[in-house]
Amino acid sequence: MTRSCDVVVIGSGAGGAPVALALAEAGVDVVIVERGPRYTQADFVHDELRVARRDFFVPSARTDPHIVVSGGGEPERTNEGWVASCVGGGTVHMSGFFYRFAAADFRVREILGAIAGAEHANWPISYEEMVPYYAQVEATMGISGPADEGPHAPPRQSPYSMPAVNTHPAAVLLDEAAKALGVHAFKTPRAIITRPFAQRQACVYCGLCGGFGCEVGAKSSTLDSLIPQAEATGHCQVLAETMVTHIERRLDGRASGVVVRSLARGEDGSADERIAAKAVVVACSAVESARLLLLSDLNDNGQVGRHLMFSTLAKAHGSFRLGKNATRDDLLRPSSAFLGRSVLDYYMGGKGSALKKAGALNFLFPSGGPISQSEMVAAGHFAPALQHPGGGLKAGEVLWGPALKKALRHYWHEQRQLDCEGFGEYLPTPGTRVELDPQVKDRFGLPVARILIDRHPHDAEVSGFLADRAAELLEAAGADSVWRSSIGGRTMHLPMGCLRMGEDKDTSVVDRDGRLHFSSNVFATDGAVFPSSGGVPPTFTILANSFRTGAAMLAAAKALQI
Amino acid sequence: MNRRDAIATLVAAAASLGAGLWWWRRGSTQGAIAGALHGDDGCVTGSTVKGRPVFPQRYARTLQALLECLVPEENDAPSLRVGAASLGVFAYIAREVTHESMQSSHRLLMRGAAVTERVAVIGQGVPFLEQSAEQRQVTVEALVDGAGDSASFEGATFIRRLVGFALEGMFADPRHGGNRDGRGWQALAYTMPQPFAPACHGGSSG
Repeated sequence: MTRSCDVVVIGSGAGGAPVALALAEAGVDVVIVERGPRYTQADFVHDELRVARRDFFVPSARTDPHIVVSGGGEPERTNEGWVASCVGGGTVHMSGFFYRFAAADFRVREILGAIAGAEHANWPISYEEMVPYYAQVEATMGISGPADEGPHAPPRQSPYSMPAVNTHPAAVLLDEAAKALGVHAFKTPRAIITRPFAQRQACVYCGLCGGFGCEVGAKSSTLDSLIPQAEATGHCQVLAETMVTHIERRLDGRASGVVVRSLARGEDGSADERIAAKAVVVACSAVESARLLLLSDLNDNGQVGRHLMFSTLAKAHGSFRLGKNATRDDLLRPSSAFLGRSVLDYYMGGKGSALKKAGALNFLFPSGGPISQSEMVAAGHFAPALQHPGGGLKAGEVLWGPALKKALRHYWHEQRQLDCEGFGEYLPTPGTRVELDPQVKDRFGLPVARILIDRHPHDAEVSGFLADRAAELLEAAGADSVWRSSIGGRTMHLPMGCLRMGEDKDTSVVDRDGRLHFSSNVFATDGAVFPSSGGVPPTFTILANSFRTGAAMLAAAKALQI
Repeated sequence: MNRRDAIATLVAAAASLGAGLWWWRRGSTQGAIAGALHGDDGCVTGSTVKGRPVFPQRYARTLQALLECLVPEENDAPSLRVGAASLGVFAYIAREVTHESMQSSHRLLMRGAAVTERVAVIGQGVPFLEQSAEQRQVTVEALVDGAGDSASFEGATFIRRLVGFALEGMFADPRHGGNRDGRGWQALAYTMPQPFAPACHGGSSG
């Protein structure tokens, strides 16, 4: 069977939905092909086991794995590297910490200079060119933030259209600590609406954002914001539970459409269907976007899959013992949702460090529900003061018996923990890339993505620096014990790179407008096009850049015949 | 225990392990493990496979005794007194491992139960189910330290997995068979925000 449209958009998350909306609003007929199901708010119950621990949002490693080879070790079959497989993509289960990239994030090569073993590059565009599209995201999705983000936040032309989420009383401790250390803590901007917006209900402060869908639609996922708007134009159709297996290409190099298979329950997915299109947009998130181009033999210059990045992650934790100080207890005990403080003072390094660029600090309560938090206690990551007698737990060990009960009791009843996540620059290296696995196939017999990871030492320097700064703030806030974790960690749910944006056709895959150098009607709009990871989570910038690519496609409508 | 008795006990333990694995493999060969016990709404509706219990009775009892050891009831504790037994953790596990994606975990638990029995007898001369609480702790410590390890089994991995299951069984939504009446959440003083999942149809919540 064959159907046709003007533009096929592959993926419905942060990369796919904005460009689809931009095109549909202009009267272009768009089909969004989404591999995963279309959930509704009724599906978003607070069942931690089902939603957050049993592959509710991502494919199973049994049927659709990635193969990860890290640091030259043994290949591991996993579903890491999948951001999501559902309409709305990762925006459905994201925590929604929404920071703009700084101007420096677009000039990483210029700032850091050449570093042996790293392949970082400047973007071919500037922060100023992205500004109107950040504003478009805010206007169409609903982003809440503070009136004052301090002197280190990227410049804004107008304030947030709605106030920041209400924050927990304990945030006062961080505010005072920041003041004492001469840094600026501000309310974290979120993709959460704090007042009714576009027929959506404001946040009810359940606190289960990350890892869960929002049962009231207050989280600004593309499922609840951009996709309904696109469909309402009458020019956008979403095909859920449908997977693109390859992009068809004509002899002149242009795409003629895509081939898809159904994953819907009850169908065996054995029949191919074609969707003919005048242009194709790839937005499956970095790893799968690269995989699709490789499966489609769309890699004329050999650059597809290269320059893979994630976000360098640092973590620090502070435990505040209850019962020491009644005034402090009154600040710590309430069970409201959001700690909500960020610090950008160390974005460009500082504090005597040789680092020229570092990243952001995001202060929050331990994430996840009671199962995951209790697991962290059992593994010795939380409440380390009560680790197993004998000097702490070794990797892979776990508390059990009375020691486990004691640690759980301490964590849940005797203290309050405040966490900090640091997001830092992740340098691309020749050894960090996506390929097609030579052996493992998915359910359709197609080679799966093989993710090779070879970290640059600079990442651990950045991570350690951010963890130290976070620990200083937690100590200044009065934490009774402070510890660091995840030094040099990575966030595999924030993949970037693989289809790098650039002017040089020999070292990049897409041009400044997201168009493939070697196929004039194929575009990419997800994090795959990023030349640098930035020092903040990339989702806000992915959305903005997707709108920007949509504008570029409309400007080239005549050539694209759309 | 004299040498003859020790050998006899070892043989019996090995036979028990072999019998359990044969029982499970026979079930697997017949396609016993399937996702069919999960309804469309995700509710688990039973803990048998084609009318046969998920675990042989002896292994079930060993696993339950292990769980009591790993997460004990503590009636004199200032808080969080409940343990795996009173929260229905084994009922949760017995249902959860019937899911297709849990086959390797099911095998691990079966193997772990058998190895636990062997380590108990070899280490202290008393079957695990007849050991005192203190003796059971010694057996678990031996398991974690590798007393029953082989090329295909690690006691530390088994205990870690069982603790993970215990935490799920204690703190997951009661619709999955554990966390009886939400008492696991109460023990943490944790208020799970609404909405929970709807009540299951035709199955007990443990």
